[in-house]
Amino acid sequence: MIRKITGTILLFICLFQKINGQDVPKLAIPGTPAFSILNFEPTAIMRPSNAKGLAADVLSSFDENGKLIMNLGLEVTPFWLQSRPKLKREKYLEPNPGQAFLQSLSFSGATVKDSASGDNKLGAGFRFKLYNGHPTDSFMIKDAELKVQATFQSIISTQRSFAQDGEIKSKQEAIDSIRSILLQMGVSQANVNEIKKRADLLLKNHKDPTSDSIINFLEKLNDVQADHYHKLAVEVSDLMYQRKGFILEFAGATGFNTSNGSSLEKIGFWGNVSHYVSPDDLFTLTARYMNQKNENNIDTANFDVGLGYLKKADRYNFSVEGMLRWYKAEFPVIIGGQPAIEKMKDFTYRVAMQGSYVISKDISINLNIGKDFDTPFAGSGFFSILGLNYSIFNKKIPGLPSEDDK
Amino acid sequence: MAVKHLDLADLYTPKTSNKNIIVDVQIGDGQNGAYTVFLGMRLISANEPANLGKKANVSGKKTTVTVTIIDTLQETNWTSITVLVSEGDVITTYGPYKVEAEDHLDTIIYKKKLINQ
Repeated sequence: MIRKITGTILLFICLFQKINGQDVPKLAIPGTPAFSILNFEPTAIMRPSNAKGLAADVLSSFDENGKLIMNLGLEVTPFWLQSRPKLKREKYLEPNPGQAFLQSLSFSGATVKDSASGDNKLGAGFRFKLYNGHPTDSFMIKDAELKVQATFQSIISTQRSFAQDGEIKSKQEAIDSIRSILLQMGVSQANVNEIKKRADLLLKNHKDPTSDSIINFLEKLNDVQADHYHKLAVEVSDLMYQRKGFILEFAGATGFNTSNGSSLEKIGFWGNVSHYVSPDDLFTLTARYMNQKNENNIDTANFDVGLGYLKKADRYNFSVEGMLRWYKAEFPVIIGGQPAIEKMKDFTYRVAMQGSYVISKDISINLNIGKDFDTPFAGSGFFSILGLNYSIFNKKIPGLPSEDDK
Repeated sequence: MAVKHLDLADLYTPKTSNKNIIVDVQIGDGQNGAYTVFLGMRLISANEPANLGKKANVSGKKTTVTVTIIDTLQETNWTSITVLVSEGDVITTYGPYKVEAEDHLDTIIYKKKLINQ
């Protein structure tokens, strides 16, 4: 009996080690290619939003001797470094391929000191989309609701302008005017009452004795309204990036060893086509080429093509994926006392199915099963793990692994 | 979630006496926004081009265009507006006016007052 239990524990440990050692599925383009190619997430990431900020960030990336500072990350989207007055909402939300390219083209860079070798590494990457799907229906509804709130703000602020010109002489007159205009516009009585209620409450507590009292009151009313739609604005800002339909994106990155004459160590290209039936239900096809040479002069290259399906729901997540890999490896060996290069070339594949189900608010069950890639040095193997997840602090459903989890 | 006000003023001289004066607003930077156009203290239009009537109807009055933009884009904090006043083929452009919101989700309210001569 004891032997049986010990065997089970050993088997579990072996399976767990296999899982930890497995290659995380890469059916997505890395969020920031430069960080991904270095397998490193910098502690300080600079994301300048204007040309002045970019110049300052680039300058601050060098020390007084003109050397690159380590453990820094920079991500920049050139299109957004300046204002785009001609870019209307409709064009931004439904861009043609040219516009999608401009809006999404981003460059990233990162520096890191390799803790094992002590070498300084530099990564540089790019990423862009040619198709970005369409906004979801739920986004369009929330966006329209937010526009209504913006219209209310304009009406309140116009009264502020009238107060500046002395045409509105009391706070009560301003409230009455706002109410009358909203009703004239056909705004529902419930919405009008809600705004009036907020204005009345503000009026009750507004003790500004200055001559700018009415202007100040209306500015405060704008602030109160902004607090009211804050949650809606957050929702709009989040939903805007949940797209449906066809998405086509590409990325590339290179990694250099700057301690070793800036030699090229890694290069990677990604291409991804996704079809979002909904933001929580998608098919995705990814192709990827990776080439790297490590400090032991082992040169590996692989080309992967993978197809996946992901479904998310309130209580469960489910994904299935298959990935084909053609790889080759070249490494130095000694044959008959003479140095030589041994070459390996092969094909392997990976299939995996992952799922999680929320049993209660804090407990979920996770299943991970499949066959991992064969590697030139470690062989292959099937893996499976059944886990129970208890969360004290995190109430979210456990996510499925992605490239960004690395 | 701050609200920032930008007040702007200009003179507008009607170019014709027999054509309608139309005021329109373009909101840039892909942002969500809304606008109202008042002639004097009367609301003419919200979120669509406002027909103020002919020169005789606007002379001596002021037009107040108020545009509210809520910065919802994660790529940028820039907001911008352009006010267009057209009389037939004659178009007078004001702007673009630009404000970069200090923080994501801030609200920028532009007020453009046109004194009609």
